[in-house]
Amino acid sequence: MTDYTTHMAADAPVSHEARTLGATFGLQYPTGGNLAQQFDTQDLSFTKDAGTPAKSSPAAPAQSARPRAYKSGQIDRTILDQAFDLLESLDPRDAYQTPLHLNSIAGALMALWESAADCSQFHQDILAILENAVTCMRADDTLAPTESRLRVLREALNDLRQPQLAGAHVQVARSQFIREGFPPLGFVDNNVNFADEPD
Amino acid sequence: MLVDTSLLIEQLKREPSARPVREALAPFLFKGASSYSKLEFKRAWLQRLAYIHDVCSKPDVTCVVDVMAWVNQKLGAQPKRRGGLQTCFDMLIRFLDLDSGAINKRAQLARLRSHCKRSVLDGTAALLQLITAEFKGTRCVRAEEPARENPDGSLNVTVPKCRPQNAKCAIVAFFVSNKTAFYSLANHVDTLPDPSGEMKTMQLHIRLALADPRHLCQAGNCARLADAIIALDGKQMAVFAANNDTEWVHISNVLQKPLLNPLRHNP
Repeated sequence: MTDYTTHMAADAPVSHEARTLGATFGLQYPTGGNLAQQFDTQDLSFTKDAGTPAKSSPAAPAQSARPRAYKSGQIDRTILDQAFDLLESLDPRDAYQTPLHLNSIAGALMALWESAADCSQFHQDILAILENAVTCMRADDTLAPTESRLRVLREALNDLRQPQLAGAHVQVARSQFIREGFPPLGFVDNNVNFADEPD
Repeated sequence: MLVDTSLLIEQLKREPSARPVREALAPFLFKGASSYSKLEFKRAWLQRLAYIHDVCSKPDVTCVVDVMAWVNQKLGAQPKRRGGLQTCFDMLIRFLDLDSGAINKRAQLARLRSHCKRSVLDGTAALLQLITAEFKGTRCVRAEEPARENPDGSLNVTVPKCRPQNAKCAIVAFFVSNKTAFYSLANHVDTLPDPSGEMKTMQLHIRLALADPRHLCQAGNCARLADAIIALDGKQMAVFAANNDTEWVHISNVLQKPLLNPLRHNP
């Protein structure tokens, strides 16, 4: 089975690279960490001068090293099956294996984005809901996997198998995950700045 | 306990950001928040997330770096958007910290867009789950307007401008009924050796409202008293909890409430 554990950094604070990037815009970051080198800073084709038109980065996206094993417009069933298997084999009572499984599931979900980018918005919405939940589970002991949480994860994964989804699928998934206590800001977990003047 | 917007937002984040706040608030069985906090939340968080979502959908934007460039270009030139720019950048950098470059830029952009959308649409519901009761002294209609998805997939988190001619809320009645407390707060600012800019702005708008309460019906004016409004909306609570000492220490002093700031030593 593919090892996806290296695909995600669990809870990395803002890194030197991030701060360097932020400094490009005159921003300050108080903490250090390890931002993944996931894009080439050569792509920063804009200037610091506000108001200067930004030049878009090259339009052609970088191709994944992994050969494509799915039809365009469909979710990658191979990775989806692997994620499902990992979820099925997760035993919430096993404190040793659980984080390892969650890491692998998180990696699999991230890998799913390549195929999901060509799928419907509903598929992307459900994948985002799932990914946020798994990220929060990895970071928060109080959100440890329970039978009911695993059930909603399973249902969401099953939804992703459907070639066609509707808004109702997303609504149901959304309300189920909120009910299970997954915080919504898990992916954009920064300090809010209230300083702007109101309109 | 009355919980301010800043601490409500902290609890919506993943660990370890949320933990100190959750643990500090856990002993309090009753947690109230002002409905006005929903408006602050919408302005400070949901609108910024929705802005990034919108940028992700631009035809010229093909990767997350393009999103950063766009945000810098559009917001960087506006001093009054400095807070928004900082929040958007922090948000994007924290997002980028969560992956290792294993997916292509197009997938990364789709991922960012979807997570922004999910956060916007789930945010208010999750916020309300954190509290036991909501105080609606101002009956702010803008706070009650939910974030929603437009038929074209864009997000609607607008806060329409209020005008004295079409006032639909009870801010004037709320101000008048709490006039003494607002007056004390404005006078308290005079006693401070070095009041913050926010406190001075608050004082100015309180005095304008004391002269004519309809001043608060004008778009944005009430927002300059946001912390005072939130505090007075929950004045029946025994304890206040907030993260921003600059304003809340003085507000809680004037209202004679103990202030709990679980992040004071862990900002």
